[in-house]
Amino acid sequence: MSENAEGTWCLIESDPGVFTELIREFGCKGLQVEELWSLEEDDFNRLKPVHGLIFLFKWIGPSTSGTSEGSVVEDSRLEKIFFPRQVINNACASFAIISTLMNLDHPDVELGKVLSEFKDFTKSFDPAMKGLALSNSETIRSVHNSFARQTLFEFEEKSASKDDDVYHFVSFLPINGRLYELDGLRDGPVDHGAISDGKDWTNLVRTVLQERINRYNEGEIHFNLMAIVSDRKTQAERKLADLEAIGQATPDKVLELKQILVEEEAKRSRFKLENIRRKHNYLPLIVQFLKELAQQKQLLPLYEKAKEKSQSRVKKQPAS
Amino acid sequence: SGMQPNSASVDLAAGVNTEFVKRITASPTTVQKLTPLLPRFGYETEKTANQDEVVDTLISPAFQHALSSFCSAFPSGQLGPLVEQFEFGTDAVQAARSGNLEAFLNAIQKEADGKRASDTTEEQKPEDMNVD
Repeated sequence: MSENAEGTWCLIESDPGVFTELIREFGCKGLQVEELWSLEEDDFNRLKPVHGLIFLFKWIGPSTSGTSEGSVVEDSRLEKIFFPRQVINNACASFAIISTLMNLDHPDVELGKVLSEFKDFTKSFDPAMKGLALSNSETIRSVHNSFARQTLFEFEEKSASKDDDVYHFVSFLPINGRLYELDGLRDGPVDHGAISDGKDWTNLVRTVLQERINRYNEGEIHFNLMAIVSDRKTQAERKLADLEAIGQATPDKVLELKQILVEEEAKRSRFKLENIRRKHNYLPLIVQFLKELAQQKQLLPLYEKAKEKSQSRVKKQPAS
Repeated sequence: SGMQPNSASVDLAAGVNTEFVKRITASPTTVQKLTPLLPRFGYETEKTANQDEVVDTLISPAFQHALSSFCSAFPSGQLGPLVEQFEFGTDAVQAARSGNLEAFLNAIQKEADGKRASDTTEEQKPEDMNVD
């Protein structure tokens, strides 16, 4: 079995279930992660309050970022914004999530012991040192790595990441009335300007993201957007209690909130199930499965069929 | 990438769909053997055999991904040492070391056939008694 050598970070999947559990296992309470499928205003409103966004996209190199939009913060704001430079590969999901969590200031959010202590400890560090400290934090790394798919076939993943597309995570969030982008490959936080008075910050970020996506459109860029939102179950419970306290818990309202509770509970158990499946070592099951197929004389037919499929796939592909 | 098209790309997961898995797990013996190897949840001390649960796991993205990885990693020969932990005969181990998936599966089939033959003919004999 290949173990994770000291200091290595595994690739993890970009998935709301993984991110939600990742945040909980860092010890942070009151949040969950939802995937956004569009930049429509309604989709954002449905998830309110949205505390931050994690944006995953194909990384084409430093030359593509930084053109025209936003400016890198170099002034005293740096003392207030938690920003780590990303100094290692594969950790960008955790870097983006942690960068967001560390900068949240909302009554729904409880950062937890591990992250608060880390934030305190690195307070006076510059971005590079913060990044180094983060990548050396054993607690944070072990939580991150526990969400990797079983590392049994690690070499396969490694060779894939060399040829294939490289993905990168950045986060967007409002800090003191301005929209910032935290990208661990930049020198500092990127300032995308002031959020108009009385407007939700998500209006501004939707414009910024839309421009960026438009820029990529031609080259069929893959991207994926996750929202860090308040724990929806707690929120619904609180609303229900509030309505009851003031005697306004009408049957309609109660039904609506109870429905959210049921949905969220179902979602939680689904996330748990998926994560247990994700972390499982499947080699014994694969081996026994192959043996069972042989017992039932289905193994070689399955192989022949798979071989046919792969050959027809090869034929269809133009030579490269 | 620059790999040879024929050796690297046979993916068994391509044929492991719901219909196939249901057919295979119609055998209670198969379900019984696969059950202890399924992912186990915190509250479970022991799994009870259940066809639905085996089916759900085998068609889950996590298992399918693992099976695909197994197939794509096989030609490298690096699965040899891992496969050796599972009581295979010399042919199967040799095939795994040299990264030949087809030979590996043939060896598994041969072992299964041999075992079945000995199960029926030598059922009464206690196992492993023919030491010299």
